Amino acid sequence: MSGGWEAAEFVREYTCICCPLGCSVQVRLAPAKGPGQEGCLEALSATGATCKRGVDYAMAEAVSPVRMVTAAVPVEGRLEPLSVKTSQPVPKDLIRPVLEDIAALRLRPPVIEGAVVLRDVRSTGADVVATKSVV
Amino acid sequence: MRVGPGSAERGDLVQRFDVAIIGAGVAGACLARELARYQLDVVVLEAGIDVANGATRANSGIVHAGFDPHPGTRKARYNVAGSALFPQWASELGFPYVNNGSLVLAFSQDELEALEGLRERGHRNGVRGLRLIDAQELRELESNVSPEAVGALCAPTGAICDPYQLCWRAAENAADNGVKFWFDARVVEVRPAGQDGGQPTPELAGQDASPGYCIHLATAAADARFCGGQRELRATCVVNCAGTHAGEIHNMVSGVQLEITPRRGEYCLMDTDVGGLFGHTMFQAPTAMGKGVLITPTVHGNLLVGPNACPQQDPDDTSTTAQGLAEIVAKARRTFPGLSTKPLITNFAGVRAGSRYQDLALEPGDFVIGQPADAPGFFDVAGFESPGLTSAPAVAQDLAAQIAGLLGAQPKADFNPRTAIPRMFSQLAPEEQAAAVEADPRAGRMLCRCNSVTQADIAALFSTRLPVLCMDAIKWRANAMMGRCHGGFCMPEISKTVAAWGGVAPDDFPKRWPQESLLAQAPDDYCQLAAESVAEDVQRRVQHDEASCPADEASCPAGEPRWDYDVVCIGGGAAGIAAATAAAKEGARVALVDRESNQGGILKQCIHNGFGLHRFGVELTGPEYASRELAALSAVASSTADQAVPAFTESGSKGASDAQAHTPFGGVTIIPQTSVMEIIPPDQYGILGVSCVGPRGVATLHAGAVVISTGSRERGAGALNTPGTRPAGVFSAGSAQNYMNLQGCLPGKKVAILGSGDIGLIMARRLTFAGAQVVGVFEINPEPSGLRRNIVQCLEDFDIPLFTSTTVTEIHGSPRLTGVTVSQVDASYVPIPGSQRLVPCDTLLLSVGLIPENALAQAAGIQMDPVTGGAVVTSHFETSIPGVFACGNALHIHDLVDFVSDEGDQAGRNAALHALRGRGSGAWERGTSGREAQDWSGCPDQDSPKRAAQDALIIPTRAGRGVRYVVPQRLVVPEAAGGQAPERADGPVTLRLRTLRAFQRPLLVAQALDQEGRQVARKAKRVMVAVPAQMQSLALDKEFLRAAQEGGAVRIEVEVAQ
Repeated sequence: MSGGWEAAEFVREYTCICCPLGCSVQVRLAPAKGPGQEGCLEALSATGATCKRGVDYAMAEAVSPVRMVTAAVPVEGRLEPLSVKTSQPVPKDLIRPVLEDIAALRLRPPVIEGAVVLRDVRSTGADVVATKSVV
Repeated sequence: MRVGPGSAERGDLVQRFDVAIIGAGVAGACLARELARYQLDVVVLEAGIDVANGATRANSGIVHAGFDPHPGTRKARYNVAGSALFPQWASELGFPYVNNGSLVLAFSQDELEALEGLRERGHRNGVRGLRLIDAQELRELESNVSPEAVGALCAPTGAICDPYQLCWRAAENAADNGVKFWFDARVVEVRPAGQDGGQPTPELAGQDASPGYCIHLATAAADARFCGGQRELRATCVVNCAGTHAGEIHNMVSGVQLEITPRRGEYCLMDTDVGGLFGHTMFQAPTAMGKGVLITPTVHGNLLVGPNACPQQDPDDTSTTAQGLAEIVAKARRTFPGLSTKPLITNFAGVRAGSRYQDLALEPGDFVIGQPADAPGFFDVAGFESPGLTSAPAVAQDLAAQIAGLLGAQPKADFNPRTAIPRMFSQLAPEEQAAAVEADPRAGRMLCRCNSVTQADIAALFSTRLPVLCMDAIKWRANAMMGRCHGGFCMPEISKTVAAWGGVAPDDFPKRWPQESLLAQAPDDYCQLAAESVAEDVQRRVQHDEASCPADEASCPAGEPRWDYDVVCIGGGAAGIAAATAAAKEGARVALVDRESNQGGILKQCIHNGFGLHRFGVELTGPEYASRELAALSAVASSTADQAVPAFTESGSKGASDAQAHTPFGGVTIIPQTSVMEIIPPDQYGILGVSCVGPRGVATLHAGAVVISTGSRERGAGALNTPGTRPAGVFSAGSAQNYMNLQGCLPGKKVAILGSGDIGLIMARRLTFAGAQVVGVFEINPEPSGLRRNIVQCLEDFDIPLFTSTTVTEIHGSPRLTGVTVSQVDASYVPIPGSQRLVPCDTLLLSVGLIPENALAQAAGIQMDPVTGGAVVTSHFETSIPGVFACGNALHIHDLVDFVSDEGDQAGRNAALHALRGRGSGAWERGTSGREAQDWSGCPDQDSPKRAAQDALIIPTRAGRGVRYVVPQRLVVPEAAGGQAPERADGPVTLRLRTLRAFQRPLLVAQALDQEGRQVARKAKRVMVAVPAQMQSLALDKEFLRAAQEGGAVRIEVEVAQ
């Protein structure tokens, strides 16, 4: 074993979702070296993608995957639930906690489309907003 | 829930009846009805929670002529007598009955001789009108019959009926006349009163007759609602109508042993599209190989094929098998070689109660009817296999007279032989329909569009005598959820209606049997919220009524053209909203007719994001996308609010239209909660009719152009022909999505998903979010059919396994789904033996494709494209009927709503131009605008162009190498030799297409060909990848179109670099 950073490098494979081609992209990863980045990964390079979109997607997905979260929450006195979404993608590993917070909401009409029903959910910087109006 | 009619009087420990009938199948229900003619206290004890749970539910529905049973048997006597009673019973009770006649086919000389034997037997049985016909006459009667058939026995008294309706209506009529029905009342013991310490019942013993019987019931969940929680009752007479359980009941009281030998018969039920292939019930001559299978039209217009006869131990098992279904289709092809399983709606099986009885006086296999020697007062109607249905009315009459005689009962003076069940909306004449809606707006609200069942029809079921205790009772009584969509659209709506009128939430409402429910969870206050939601709907209708002007009574003079709108768009989803907006922008007066209260179509329930990237440049959720489109529509509509004409005025006279002709914007009227029943082809003025039913009335809107934007439906469970049971817990992905996202319910907790279409994938994530476990997604194709993004973000993110080349080959469980068998399939989609495994689950979602919704287009005679399932259209989106346009999923199934809206824009604009040209030119007044329907038949094959109006050519597009289909199928091109292009053809034309398989970096090529097939223009586009699941597009510019020659075609194909 030569030890050092080289040994900590590894490769993960991702399937690009940008188009139906579904390129298989290999991303070379290593622990991030910067201050305050202990435990984080750094994407060094990506190979196998047919176009640049695949490289960008896989490198971002490898280091910090994010997802939009959509859900439906009950509104008092209404059969039809309110549909909501996060105002921006949230870290993938926070999907469940975010959903828990959304599920705990107790809303009353009226709620207007675009209204923030939960601010900065789980400190992600994303708000939970109504995607329709319930009057 | 309304308390059932059989609730007990409190304080009475043991209720006493003159007669207890065990079983509410056709035998029990008909007998109850006939006993109701006498002054007797009668109760019917039914183990299930609906009538007709056994053999009556699932059989051929044939009213046999009576040539089959051996002369001298009870079967022969009751068959012929019963058959003769059917017309009267059908008239009194109002169940569907059609005297269509039967034919028994012979395929050889031997079989012809067998037919002669049948004719002779029938003659001895007293069957009227039997005669043998030769091959020529047979073909005149039934043109689709196999050329191998050499003759037939014709039985003109043969008929078909709806057995469930007969049973239910007989039971209702019995209840109307005082008979009590106890449901969920399974009989576990019958013994003569006075035995085992039981008290004799002298007051019932009458004239030294039987002292009667004690009957014990199993503890049942629902019993308190019907019999006050009682588990014991007494009856002087007991009638055993327990079907395949009749042996158990009989042997409780008689030493003369009765054994029931259950048999299962499997069937395939076909779409009404093919119901007209045969008029008669087509039997095959019985041979040494068996009785053959029949093909028959049904009273509901379907085609029914079956049954086989499989002996089995289980008296209740009605699961189907792959082998049995294949067998009946193969045998039926003897009668109709062209039989395809493509129009299949569902498969099912029913049980038959064959019998072996120790009473040697009886011919083996004959009906067991009457009192065993050792059990006076106990009557059987057992071994009631075919022709039991036909015989039931005659047996009931006979037995009722015997029982009344035994008990010395007198006839009731006030017996009413007619049921009080109101007629269904679809059964009413047009003027009656209008009156019905006038009286009750709910009568104008279609819930089940496949079979035109209204909210009032469903609500009426809750005011009849027999309680509605399960979803299937609604299905069978009202014919709702029984059409092509398998309830995919209407079931969630009907759940709300059940809650509003029946007070039961879907997590407490069984599909068919007690101790199961449709859904795993519903909101605690579902019933109250549903009732408020339904009431709010009604309130909205009233407000609409007040807002709208009353109908203009000044009718149009005869011979004058009339129209109410320039453009009527049918369907308020993405395509219809875009079409209405675009048409109004052109200055047309537009009506948008939509069946729902709120517009937006399926987008309303698609709460996930990913919509609108092409159209709006941002990713939106479904409701947000709909909201933007509706805002655009509203902007156009409100700019002309003053001129907007009310919907459903019967005016639309010439004067009113002239006033409109000068307004820059015509405005849009949204007509919600309204279903279109028919598109009426153009009259002499070129004006189309759109007949509508809504809570505001029944009306025909007259329009210069019509846009079909009716969307699509999901391929149903039945269409897959998956064998197995029919449990609760099988949903289309879309109806599960509706329940979750529009009603806050959870369908199930352990879910398997068949099909990897995007809706299925989205639902896998949605269910996981809601706390359900998704055990796997199974895809029959080697590649998933949904978007890659959805595979990653809906499945892989949550470790949900995806199994490709795998499908569900059997469904297990009753009453609730307990699991599915999945099997791997080979390259030809045939299950690989030995690869099957059981996947336990309580819910199965189907995401197996969408079908363009085109019942209206087909009924109007619009030419359809068999590949897309939509209409054949020009590059103006005009169909073969001038002035009728089509777009969106009704035209062909899209992957992205953005392109649906894009098509809507174009179809709406062209529809407006068509209508305004007709209006502006005065052609409508002169009666010269009524172009003939365009005959495009053969056009795609022969490449023969047709001359369209306005000096333009119509040339076909053709799917060439590697291309599955191309839309539009016809291009309107400017004429080569100096002709004027119509204004609509100005812009480039976008072809949309799908490839047959996956291609890497292919070239999509359009070639304009001349008459000799030589290329005169070429347009090519390189794409990264083309897969069938992703629609491709190719724009053709003006130069390309101008190059297209008369006599030519445009061919689209895939070129792959070598």
